Amino acid sequence: MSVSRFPVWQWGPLTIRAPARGAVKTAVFGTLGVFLALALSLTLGEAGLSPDRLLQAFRGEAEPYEHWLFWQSRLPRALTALGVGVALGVAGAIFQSLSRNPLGSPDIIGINAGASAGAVLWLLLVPGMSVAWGALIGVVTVLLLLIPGMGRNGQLSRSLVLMGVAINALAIALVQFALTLVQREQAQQMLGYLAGSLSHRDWQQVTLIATTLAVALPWLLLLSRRLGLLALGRDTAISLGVPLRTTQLLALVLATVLALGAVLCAGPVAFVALVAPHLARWNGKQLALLRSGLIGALLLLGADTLTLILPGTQRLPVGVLTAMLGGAYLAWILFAELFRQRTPS
Amino acid sequence: MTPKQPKDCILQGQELHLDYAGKSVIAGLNIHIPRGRLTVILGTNGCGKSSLLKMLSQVLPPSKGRVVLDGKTLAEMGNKERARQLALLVQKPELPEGIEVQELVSRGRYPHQTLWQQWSPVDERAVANALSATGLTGMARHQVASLSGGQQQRVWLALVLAQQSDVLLLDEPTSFLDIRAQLSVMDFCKALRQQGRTLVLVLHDINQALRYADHLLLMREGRILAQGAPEELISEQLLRDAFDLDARIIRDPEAGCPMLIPRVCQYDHAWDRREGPV
Repeated sequence: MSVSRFPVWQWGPLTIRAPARGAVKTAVFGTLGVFLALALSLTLGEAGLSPDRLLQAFRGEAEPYEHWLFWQSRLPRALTALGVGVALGVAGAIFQSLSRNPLGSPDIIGINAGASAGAVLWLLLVPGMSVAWGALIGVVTVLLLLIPGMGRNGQLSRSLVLMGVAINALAIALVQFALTLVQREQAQQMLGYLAGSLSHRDWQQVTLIATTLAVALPWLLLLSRRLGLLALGRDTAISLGVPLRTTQLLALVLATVLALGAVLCAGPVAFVALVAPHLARWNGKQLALLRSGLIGALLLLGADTLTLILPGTQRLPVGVLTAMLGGAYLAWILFAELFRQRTPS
Repeated sequence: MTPKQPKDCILQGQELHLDYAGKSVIAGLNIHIPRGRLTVILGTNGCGKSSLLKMLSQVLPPSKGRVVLDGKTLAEMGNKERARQLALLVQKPELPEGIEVQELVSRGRYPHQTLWQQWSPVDERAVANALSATGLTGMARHQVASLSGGQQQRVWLALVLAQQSDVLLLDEPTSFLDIRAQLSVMDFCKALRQQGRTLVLVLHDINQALRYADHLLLMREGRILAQGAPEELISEQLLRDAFDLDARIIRDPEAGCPMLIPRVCQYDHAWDRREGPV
């Protein structure tokens, strides 16, 4: 007899399993959602373009100011938000699966804090140059501290979160220390970076995040089957032929690359990487990397659009908004969980 | 006692040493697993049975010594090549959240797949066969977490079956199951053996071991105490040596094989006196 759930697709030497209905549904709704979010992001807000002007700008028939607004401000900003959101969603899903911990995410593991510390120290020591270099050095340092946590037997999951908490504490102490040393204007600049923001993005950021995704995502998709086997436990994965250490190391490095790309484009945006994988698993299904990335993109673009339409003279950095929303969401999950445990079954 | 070595061995451990957290768990152990037979390993908790199974499957590489599978050194084989010939069912596999029976069992096909051959009709058939052999075809779309303990154990057995290896190492496959489920797992193992597969089981129930095993291995503190056919091997003295257990050996009225009946406890606090009966 045959099980018709996963029909086989063949092209020449390549045979793969046809995607399940859920995956097709995700792809369709995801694409629709992304287009809707993009449209909203471009039309809403005080500098938003009405739909007909949007089309004009798209065809290159708009006034010079609106042309500039569309091509050089709103579009790159929205695309950066999407790309960073995908990177954060996927990185969060990988860190959660590697650490077997729902809290495993670049925020908690210390990657964001490492980037912050690197950037702030860089501002302090090399004031003239881009903070991106500092963030890069910070993230690489954190990665080098996390790798020995794998140990000889590949017990990465146990060490990852604990080590991350320690790295987080150290990095935040460094940031605080740097902030006490600098002048007021410089501190303002640092705080602006630390919040994570999407304002004043241009095509440079779009190119950077697109390159990051193009490099890391194909590898991660190839790894995702092995990551699924790791979820059966270390021993079962090895006995099924998964090269444990290589898999963990590759996944760790690639997820860090994604988190790094995100941090370089938008600063340390909080909570998207933590919340997206949870939402992706909401219907109790398997960890799905792409779904988590899609949800991350929608979350970040949505949050950024929200910062554009919220009243007030001073624009809220998107990182502050995601932290507030994400914190509230997490608290809600925990309360719901506690409540469920209290009620007698 | 010099153990008698079986003649046709599919799996051998030679001079195996295992150090764990700076402590020697197993030192210089030699083991021979006969081809096409059902071997059961018995021993007290912590005597190194599980570690031995993990060493035999390269999940826990031995600190010293080597494992030979069908003439090839295990450590020199490729990961997937090894997994195609030897499967291990660990004592407590982790169950991913929300996974369905069929999805879990398909993961057993990993060692047969390549970058190009991600999923083929052969895989499809292997999974279908594994599901029907374990009586799970009707439950293929159920969530594993919603099944009973006995059914879940069948799912894990199906995963190992889908791997289609000749040698199966099962670590306490009957623990935590009710008696009916235990017996069906044992009968299932016997059926696999009749198909010509080699099975190695770690068990705690000595009577089940005596009834089902072709070959018995008794371990104590990281050493092999005795090995051989249950009928010839088992003695009241051996039980005393292996388990500090005072028991009678009688004939199983049902199957005709030896079975043990523990004597009524004559010593007051067994926990204080691991050394043995008064």
